[in-house]
Amino acid sequence: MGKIFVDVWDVSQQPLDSMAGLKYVTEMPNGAETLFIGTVRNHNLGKKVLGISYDVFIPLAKQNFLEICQEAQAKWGDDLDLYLVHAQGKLDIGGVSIVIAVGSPHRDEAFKACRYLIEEVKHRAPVWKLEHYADGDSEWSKGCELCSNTHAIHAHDIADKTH
Amino acid sequence: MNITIQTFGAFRQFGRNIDLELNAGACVSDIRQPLNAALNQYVAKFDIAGLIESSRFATDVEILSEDAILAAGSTITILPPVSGG
Repeated sequence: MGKIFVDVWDVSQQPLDSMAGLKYVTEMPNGAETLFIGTVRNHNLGKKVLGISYDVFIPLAKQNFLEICQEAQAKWGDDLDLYLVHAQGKLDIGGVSIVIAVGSPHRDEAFKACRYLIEEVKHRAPVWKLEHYADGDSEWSKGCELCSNTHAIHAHDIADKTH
Repeated sequence: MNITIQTFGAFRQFGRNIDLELNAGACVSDIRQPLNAALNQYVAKFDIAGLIESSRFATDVEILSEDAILAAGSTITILPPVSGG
């Protein structure tokens, strides 16, 4: 059985660490490790962005991350090792907002599970971002509407490429 | 009965918690109208009623169905559309 680590870190206390994620999933039975690092970019929808503040409903988010990881194991093998840490707090441009690492015996499962984790987090996790713009304004991202059964309305993304 | 709405995202500007008075036996879908009434006094950059409509409600461990019955004195968290990652 693979292992799972999920958490939310207050980045004013502890910046996210991609190498820690990679190390966590690098195990002897694994022949493939994939790593996804989300970072704050300097623009969105034509506006110059200076930073992003992440608001997180931590207990539900951790529960949600765990469920998503368990779903990935159900889909691509319970031997997957999975690491998922999301940032809470304010990040400047280039700051790391999420680290996902997957270790698997084979590359196909490692790539697919990594992609699954980030897409599901974006659509389902109780996390909100407040963008800070160069003109001094700030705005909450429009985001993806949740369904009461926890699965998101993905069609929203087609019109809103804010992620 | 009294329930407390814990806020996140765009609803943060209205405070960390919003207290509402609901009828005994109220369910999740009964939160929206009094919540909208409570926030009506505020000015926001967004459509408050529209955001309430597109939000869901949750406990610490799960998103609640619209027909879930609320307990008096409980704290329920409002989840506007999400944007993690």
